[in-house]
Amino acid sequence: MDFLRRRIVTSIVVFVVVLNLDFILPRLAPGNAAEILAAGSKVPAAAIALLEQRFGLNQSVYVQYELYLKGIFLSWPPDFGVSYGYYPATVTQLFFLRVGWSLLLLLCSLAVGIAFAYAAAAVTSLRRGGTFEKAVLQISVLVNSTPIFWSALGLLWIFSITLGWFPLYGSVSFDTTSSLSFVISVTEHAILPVATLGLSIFGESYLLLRGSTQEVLKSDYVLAARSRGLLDRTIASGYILRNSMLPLISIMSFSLASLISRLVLVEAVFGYPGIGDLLIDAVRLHDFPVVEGTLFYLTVMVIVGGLLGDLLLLRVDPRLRSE
Amino acid sequence: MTSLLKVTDLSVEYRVDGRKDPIVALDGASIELPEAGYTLGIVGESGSGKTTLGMSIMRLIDPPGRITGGTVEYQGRDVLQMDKEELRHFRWKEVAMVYQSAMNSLNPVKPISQPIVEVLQTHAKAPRSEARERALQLLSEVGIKKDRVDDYPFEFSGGMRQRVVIALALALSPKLLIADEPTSALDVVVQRQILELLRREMKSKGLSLIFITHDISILSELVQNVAVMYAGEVVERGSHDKVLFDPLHPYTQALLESMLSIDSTADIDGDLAAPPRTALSLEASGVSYCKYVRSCKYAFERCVKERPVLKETEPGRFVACHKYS
Amino acid sequence: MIAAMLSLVLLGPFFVPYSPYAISGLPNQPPSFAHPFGTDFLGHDLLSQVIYGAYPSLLVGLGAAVGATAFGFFVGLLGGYYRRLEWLLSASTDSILSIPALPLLILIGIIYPVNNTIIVEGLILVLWAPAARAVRAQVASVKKLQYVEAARTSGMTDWQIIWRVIVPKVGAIAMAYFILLVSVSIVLVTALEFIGIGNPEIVSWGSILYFAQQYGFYLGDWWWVLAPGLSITIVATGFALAGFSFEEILNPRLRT
Repeated sequence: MDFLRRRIVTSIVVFVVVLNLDFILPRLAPGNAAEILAAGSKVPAAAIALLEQRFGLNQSVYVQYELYLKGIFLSWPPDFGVSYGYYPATVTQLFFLRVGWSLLLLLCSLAVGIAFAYAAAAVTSLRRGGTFEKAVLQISVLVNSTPIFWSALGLLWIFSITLGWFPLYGSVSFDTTSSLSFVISVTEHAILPVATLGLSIFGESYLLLRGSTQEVLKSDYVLAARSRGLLDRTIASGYILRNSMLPLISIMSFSLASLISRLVLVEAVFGYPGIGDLLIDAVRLHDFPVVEGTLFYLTVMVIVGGLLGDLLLLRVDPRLRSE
Repeated sequence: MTSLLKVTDLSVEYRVDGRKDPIVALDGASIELPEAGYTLGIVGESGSGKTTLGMSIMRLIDPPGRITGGTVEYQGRDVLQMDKEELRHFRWKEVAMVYQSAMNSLNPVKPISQPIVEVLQTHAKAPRSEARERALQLLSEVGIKKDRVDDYPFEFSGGMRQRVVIALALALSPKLLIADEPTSALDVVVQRQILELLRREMKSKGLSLIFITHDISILSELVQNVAVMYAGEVVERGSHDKVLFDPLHPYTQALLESMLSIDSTADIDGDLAAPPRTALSLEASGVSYCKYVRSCKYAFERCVKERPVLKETEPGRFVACHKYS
Repeated sequence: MIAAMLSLVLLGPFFVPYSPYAISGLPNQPPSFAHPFGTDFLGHDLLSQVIYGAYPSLLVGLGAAVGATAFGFFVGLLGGYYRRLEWLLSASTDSILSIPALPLLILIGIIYPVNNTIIVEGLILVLWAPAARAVRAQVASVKKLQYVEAARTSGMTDWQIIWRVIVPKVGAIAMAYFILLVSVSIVLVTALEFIGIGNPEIVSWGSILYFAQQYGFYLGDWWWVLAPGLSITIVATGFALAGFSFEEILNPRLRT
């Protein structure tokens, strides 16, 4: 229980820090806030006025801070202002509209990436050495150092542009009639981004998993389990899987933030309408509220994800319960 | 009448990275348990091959280890020739094992009742509730209270974990129990308790037992017969009293001499006999001389030319030494 | 491998056949003899672009790595040695690590006038945390060594202990992290440029890809994407491998 308590406290601290950072950073820039914020964007005058009011741009920092906090905690849904680019949509609206697609990608990629990493780890643990193992090792090293947007471009080029197997962008076609064709269309559009992101996750997890499964396979309790004449599949699920998962879960909790960054890039390349894509557009439009708000929400997602991971870890590894 | 267990000429080797020749763990070892209820203690130093022997009986030798020869006949069937399913049924139902590091032989992420329930479900096809009932029963027999039955291994002391492991081993009422140094990692008091427990269980269930240890002193109350191992071979075997009080093989004699007992006639001020030199287990199998020759005080010419084999000097008494043939 | 790349980069500008800013060929040409990497949509020679483009990307990457390692080293050192400061260290590193890097950098990129310095500073902000963590862990384990205790009891001041005893041991892992951070920051920089943050006028690997995706990619100009991407990958991989080997050398336990 102490473990959980510690983690919750840490999460709260992180949240507070990020809350403030998100406020301070943008306001450190030199120059008139309003001008900067509106710089380079075709913002309707009405929007600017609204924003000045919302962010208190012409007032003191303290007032701004107060407005900021009020916007987050006192209004529901949390108010981050109105987007420049998509005026009059609010930031929060935009975010939640798109987060569903991103989550779809994320979860599918995680599932795919980890499943493959596990499979590969299992195979290479049982059959040491050999060409398969070496090949997989090379692949994961390569994947780890290739910038994900490049591999995304590569995949896009091979499969969409040249071969035409998959659509070029978007998450679903507009002309789907039945729910079946909807599902098919979603899948079609999702395959490449999931493959790219999944590949990246694979690269991350494979090495770790391989070490972990190797250790477990050599352990006394697995030997003891075999000596008891248990079925292979019993041993695989209850003993090997359970125990080799543990390091993976804790590492994954750490790399959530990087996962989001990668997601942004993947969405950028594939034109997938999730929050990553939202951010990319925001860059072009100099849409400050969107960026500020999205950053906040994303960080919250990371923190919550981390806590969920910890809960999962607690459930699977009873040894942590009494730390 | 087929014996309960008959190991004949078993050889096991291990390949180690970086060594050209494999390490020989067992070199033609043979033991026999003629009938149910037969109890055998196996003694020897580390490296003598006793653990390997125990593991081989259940065919638990994994690469880089390899069984290179011999047979393990359980009630007439050669365990080494069994196919996967046969072997799976054989394990735990007929023969069960308690390991030295039993602490670690329990799955750390599952409660201690779980493995017992598991074997009952797998082998006896018992439904979950029945299996659980039985598990609780078994655990209470060894002294684990009901309210602790769902705790995890790390929450127990070493002695308690050993009890769990014993309950687990006896869950399917096997005919033979192999105990490999089950008490070495425990303190003396707990050791006594565990040995007591074992004795009780064996008596009430009529089990056969193979008890592997390097500590001869604990054998007397537990086993009726003893086998002595040296350098991968069984060099002497017979009833407990005969082997330990009237040892025939020079190694057995030296081993016993190196232990002082309370009623020993050895002069306390005199020199303590040096323990016999450890054998080099690296020697390739199939050598043509007696492996003990370097430390043996009775060695003569034949000992360097010919390898001694186990011969029955009297009914039930076996020695592998040229002195007696 | 790195040496080869570095020499290419350093000597490259002297051998550039065409100026990357001048139009020297027909637009959208696939690789040919005159233009080994092809040309972009305006007719710039891509080979020259790639060679020139190495500079900004690498420079920023290196700069950021230096800064991040230095800062991280310092913080990690203090946090590891002084128990009281440790919670401060963990809190701050955990916070930074919980923020997705790219969105944060995007935020910075939008607000501040963008030039290389800002980018470097942004990267440092993001990258010091992992370095600090590793350093702290190392310091913690070194601190437990007996001769640190001995030094303490022999009356050395804290500062002396840190300098003479701990730094040499920990310096090594800092080096390894530095190399790894170079790899990471190069990738991050190019990613930022790819998205459009940073000055697209300046030729850099990321900006080449930026234009490529906007203008040529969908039309099938595969060469436009291949060259810069490959360069990024090779350089990043090179540094990463170097960093890992370094780490392995220092930490024999890691050798599989």
